Amino acid sequence: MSGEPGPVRRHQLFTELPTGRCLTVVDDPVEVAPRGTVVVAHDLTGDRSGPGGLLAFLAAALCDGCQVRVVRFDTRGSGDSSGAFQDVSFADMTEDFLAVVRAHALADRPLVCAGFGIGGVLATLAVNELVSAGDPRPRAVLLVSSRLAEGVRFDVGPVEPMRGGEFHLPEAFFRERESLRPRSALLASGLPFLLVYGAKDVELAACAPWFAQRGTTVAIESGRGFETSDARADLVRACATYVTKLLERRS
Amino acid sequence: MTWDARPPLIPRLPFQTRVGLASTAGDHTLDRPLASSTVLLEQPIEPLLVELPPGRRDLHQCAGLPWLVMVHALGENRTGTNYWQAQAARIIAAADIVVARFDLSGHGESLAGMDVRTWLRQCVDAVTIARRHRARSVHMTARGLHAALLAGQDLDGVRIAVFPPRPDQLRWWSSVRDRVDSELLEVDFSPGGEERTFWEACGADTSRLRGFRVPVGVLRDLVTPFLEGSVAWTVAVTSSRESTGTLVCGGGPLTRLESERSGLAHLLREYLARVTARGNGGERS
Repeated sequence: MSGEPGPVRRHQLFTELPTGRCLTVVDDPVEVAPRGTVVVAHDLTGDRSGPGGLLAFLAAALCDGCQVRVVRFDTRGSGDSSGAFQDVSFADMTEDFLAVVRAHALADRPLVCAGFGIGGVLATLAVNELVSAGDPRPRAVLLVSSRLAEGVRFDVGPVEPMRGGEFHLPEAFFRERESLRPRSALLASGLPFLLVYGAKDVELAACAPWFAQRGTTVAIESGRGFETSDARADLVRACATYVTKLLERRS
Repeated sequence: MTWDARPPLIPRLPFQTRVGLASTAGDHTLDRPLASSTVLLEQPIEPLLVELPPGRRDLHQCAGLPWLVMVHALGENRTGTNYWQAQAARIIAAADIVVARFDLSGHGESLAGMDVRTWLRQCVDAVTIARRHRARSVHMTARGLHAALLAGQDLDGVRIAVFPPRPDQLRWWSSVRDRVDSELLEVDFSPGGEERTFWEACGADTSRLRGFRVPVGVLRDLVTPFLEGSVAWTVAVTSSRESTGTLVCGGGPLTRLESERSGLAHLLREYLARVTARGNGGERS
């Protein structure tokens, strides 16, 4: 795994939902049939490309390095999908994740549900629903800079500014987040997982032991967004090694 | 800032891109006045995302309407930082203007590298698509340093430079201009001083720029017209009135805040609606 993505066929389209649609990007290897699917959810206030193109880069590298289909999407209200940001909810975003899986994950091939930041919460909630419904495809969860906080409490007003007013969200969003138990959902799924995080991300580093006791963790010498080319190469290496081993184990 | 002659993170050819069928299912938040539809159109380099005015279900129903082509800034994608272009597209489309956006090569979903000639071609391709769909006129916005791309376009509409840099904001360029064009600049820390001024004048958010890599030659192609005074646009959006041909939008060039983004979008919408009502507006260098 060189870290430099190779030939990839990238396809953009809309995934239709009963109440809206999600801009979706599908990466397939050019020369071989994909061995499985990785579906990736972005962070809150982010989009399919990720900060500085992180997710677009990771997708191309995983697609080429692991010979898998990688699917990314903008949740409703974010990026180029339908809807308004102030209307986002975890229920809708999880529904978006599941709709993208239904539309684009390969039948009878392994599925890895992945997410960056809050996207990890979506991936975890979605994978738990898939497993509960008896879907045999989910094989692992891939968390990137996602701590899956539980028991959080927010002191917010009716409309709460985020990052000094860059966005505003209603109180209902935060109350919904308080009610979620993504770590419990992760454990309930019974699936193995990998958490990759920046060692300089103080909040994540503090809770990394919880994940290390229950799954696999990799700390990379960087901040939360893997902001250097070396850090991005390390991120790709960690994710690709994990996914490749997973696919080999199943085959 | 470090110098790096390694290949860019984003691979060069071979690559293939394609887009799905141009579905026109609507934005289902129909209770909102800005509800509109989007279509994805295949293009030779990167897909074109086109926002249709509310009530128009496909491009055939948009014949005779004005188009706006939006060119994003360095380091962002067609959605724009904090979704500013996506939000503006909806607001402007509500004024019966078709709005088209795309990822410049080397940005967003592009698998290719950064190249100014490719970017100029992408702009030309977008204008060609607009004319093919019988656009009444074609306008263009470009943010930050990418306002340099406006001068090379054959438009019958207005060219709007959104927070273009002033030459005095580009001083930091003199410290790197002697590097060879193929070298990559990588911003590996949060810059300060003249370097910070430079990047922000270019439209790049320095708080999110770490890891960003750009060839020196790309910067040279874009900075030089500003230093030589060979840039050209009809009107510029700036944070204060500097001359005629200026629209004023509060905040800074990065339009981070929701209120700034919304204000900018409505300002552009009002300007374009008025220009469309009286003709296409005059050109000014």
